[in-house]
Amino acid sequence: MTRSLAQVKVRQKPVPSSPAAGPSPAVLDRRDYAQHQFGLMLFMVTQGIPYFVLINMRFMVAGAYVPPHLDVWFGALLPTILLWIGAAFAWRGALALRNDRTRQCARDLARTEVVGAVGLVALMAPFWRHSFDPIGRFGTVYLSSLGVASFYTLVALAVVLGAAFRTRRGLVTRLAPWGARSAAAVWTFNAASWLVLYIVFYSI
Amino acid sequence: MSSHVGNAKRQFVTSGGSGEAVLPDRRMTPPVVRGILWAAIAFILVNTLVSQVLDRQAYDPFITKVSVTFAWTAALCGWLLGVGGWEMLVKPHFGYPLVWRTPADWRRYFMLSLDHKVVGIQYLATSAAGLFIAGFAAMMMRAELMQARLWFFPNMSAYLSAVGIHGTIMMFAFGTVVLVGGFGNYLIPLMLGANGSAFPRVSAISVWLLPVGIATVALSPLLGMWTTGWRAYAPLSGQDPSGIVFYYLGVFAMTVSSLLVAVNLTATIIFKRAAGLTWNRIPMYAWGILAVSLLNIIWLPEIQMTFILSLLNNIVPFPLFSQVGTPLTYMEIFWLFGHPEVYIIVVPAFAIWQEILPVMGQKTLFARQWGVLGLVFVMLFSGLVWAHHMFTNMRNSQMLPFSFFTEMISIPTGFAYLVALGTMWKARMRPKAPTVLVLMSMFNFLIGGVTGVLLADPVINLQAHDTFFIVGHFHYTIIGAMLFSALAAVYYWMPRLCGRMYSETWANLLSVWVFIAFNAVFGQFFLLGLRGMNRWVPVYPAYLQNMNFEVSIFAFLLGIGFLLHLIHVVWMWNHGEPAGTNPWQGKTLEWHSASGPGQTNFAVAPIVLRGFYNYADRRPVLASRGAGEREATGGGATPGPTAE
Ligand code: HEM
Ligand SMILES: [Cu+2]
Repeated sequence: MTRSLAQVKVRQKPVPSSPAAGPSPAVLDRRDYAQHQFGLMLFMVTQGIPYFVLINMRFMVAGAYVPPHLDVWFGALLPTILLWIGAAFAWRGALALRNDRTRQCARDLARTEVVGAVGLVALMAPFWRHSFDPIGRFGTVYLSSLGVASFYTLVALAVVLGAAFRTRRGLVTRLAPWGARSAAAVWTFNAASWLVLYIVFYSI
Repeated sequence: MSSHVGNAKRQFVTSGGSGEAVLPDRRMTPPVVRGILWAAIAFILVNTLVSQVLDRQAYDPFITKVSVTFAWTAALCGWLLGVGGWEMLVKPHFGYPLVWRTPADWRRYFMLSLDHKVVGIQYLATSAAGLFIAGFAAMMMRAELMQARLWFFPNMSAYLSAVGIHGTIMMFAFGTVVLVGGFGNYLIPLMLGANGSAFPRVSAISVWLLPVGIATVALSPLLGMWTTGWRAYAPLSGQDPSGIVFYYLGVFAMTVSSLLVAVNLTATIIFKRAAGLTWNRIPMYAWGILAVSLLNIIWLPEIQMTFILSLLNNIVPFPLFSQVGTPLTYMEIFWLFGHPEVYIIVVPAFAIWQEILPVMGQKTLFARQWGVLGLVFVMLFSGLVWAHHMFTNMRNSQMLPFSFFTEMISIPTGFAYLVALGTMWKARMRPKAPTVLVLMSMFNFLIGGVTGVLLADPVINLQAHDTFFIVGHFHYTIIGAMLFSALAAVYYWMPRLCGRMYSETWANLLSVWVFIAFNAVFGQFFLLGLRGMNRWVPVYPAYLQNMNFEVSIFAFLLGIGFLLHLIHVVWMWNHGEPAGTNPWQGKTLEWHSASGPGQTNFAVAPIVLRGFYNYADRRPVLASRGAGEREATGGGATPGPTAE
């Protein structure tokens, strides 16, 4: 029997104070918290690099060219605004934990989901309707960038959705806020990356 | 029962909260079986959906470039969920308890594992599989070149596809992986006195991307031939049949795997060091892994984006890098990654020299700080030299800075070399297989490095570019330096990995065997290159034939030599003499713990008092010993959680 459980490294039992059996909030000590923060930051740095490549491609391939009659809302300003509104909700939710307002947090994360989903649609609209040549100098790089931004928005939606679920289940709390904060950070990263792409494609 | 779990608790803290352990089910099938099943179902469903419903194409083929891309992605998800991602990532993400059964037998290697030692071995085994699969492709290439006509392959493209598969798997599944994902995952937490890596679930999942990548690239001819080789130069890549699609997808899987390892090991090195293990004291291998991880973190996402653009080029299709942009655009962004990649491969090898030599000579590591500086500066410079791969495509004035920096890189590289030489100076090196292999590696790297410096000179480069001189150069650095170092690492750490010793006679004999065969093959590559033998050609003019025939013979001997090494290691893994806890009298912390897979490394957190490389100082490096020591032969330090 000695060997059988050898590898299981999960907590065997809920923290004694937790009401029922099942998972309980993971309270990170300072060092663990810093480690999680660092890991997430590093990962976001890695995921910023593809955007950097896209920005370079935009200038290498199309210079600063912006096609005439480019839609200013879809695939442009609308998703930008919606993603940032989502970010504001996500942070308000994450910060609500400070005052133990867990349900407020869950609700705000859910709002982020709704706004973000609409934002995703607005982001992807130019795949179907566009006024430029999709395989031209601008079109190739712009559509590729839209695809990348849509993918990351999808990922961010999944991350926030999970955080909202965990918050509702009482796993994200004042003492264990990492789940909500990391979700808000991921969301903000995505919103910021798209903002940069937007500026690069529309204004420069 | 629960009291034991306490010490394991710290290793696994996630936002998902705690979970519960369930007793292993003795009859459970390993989750890889489920992974294969889910992958197959997902592939067929999504492929049918795309090719028959959403995106029907003329003549209604069942598999199209587009459908296969979506189907592969779905299959990848199915596979990752099947091997354990469902229980370990998805369900906890949504707040369900983490339930993961881990049988303590061979089956633990066929599922997600939270133990960095199991993950390390999974990585080692998978990248070794990659080595032999890609090696088999090389044997086929050499068979073809034994005659000056097309006889082994049905057509030219088939030969070139073999070249591409060989290079791609070697680079992304072996060269980039074996010393980082493999030995890095296994050794780094141990060397830092930690009980696990920073994010165990990350490496648990990342290792399972590797077999997917290998299989995808190896099976690429199913979709069609591709002729670009591992560089996937556009626009050529857009003109081939569809096989290249599997190149992009497979490389994507392999690079994600290495990227996750890099993030995890960087965080591990920064946050998981034992008390007293200051930056001045961390092992050379940790420095090497840190340098390489930073390179991976910067350059792997860069090449992933490049390849995703190329993939879109292929499947949308876009006219990128031809009508839109230029072929040079692709070359730039490929080699921006491509040159750092070669240092991703060789930097850990330098670190291995510096780990093994002081121990085998029981002599203080010479000029340790310079060794660290060398590793770090090689890393920094490696981003400044990429264009030496494109001299034939540039103006003279543009070559100069790249030529200059390329030659400058040999200075920090020289540090690594001199540290090794200084350590051996007047040392009584024990003539064991690890020593011998490190010496061979140094010899080979000297040739690889010197020919590299020659190639940095535009005058020579313009003559030698894309000939077998280049192929000789980089095989000397990659096989000659890195693979020989990896073999040294296998023998050096084998007692730590499995508690058993290899056969000194066989290991040395086989090492001499591969050393001779290797130099016979690749030394002649230089001559062939100088005689005008270009790369990427299945049938050469008759005047090269005699030499090519004879090179092929040595190449087969080299392949057999590596195979015999493998057989030897696998045999001794089970039948070797028990090796004892610390057979080489090493000081680094992996020798202060005898934990096997599934066991806790350090029951009592170690406290480090001094560095590991000073052999004049005989005082113990750890403050509290005893707890981490082996209790009985064959047993672990402290068994993990036990059921009493
Ligand atoms: C002092 C060190 C080195 C120098 C100065 C150097 C220089 C060069 C130069 C100038 C080329 C371009 C040749 C051409 O295509 O015209 C080259 C190619 C290459 N080198 Fe190195 N090199 C060095 C070390 C390494 C190392 C350590 C590795 C691998 C571990 C490596 C791997 C390669 C590869 C793979 C290529 C050819 C890639 C291809 O065309 O497919 N080199 N090297
Ligand atoms: Cu290079």
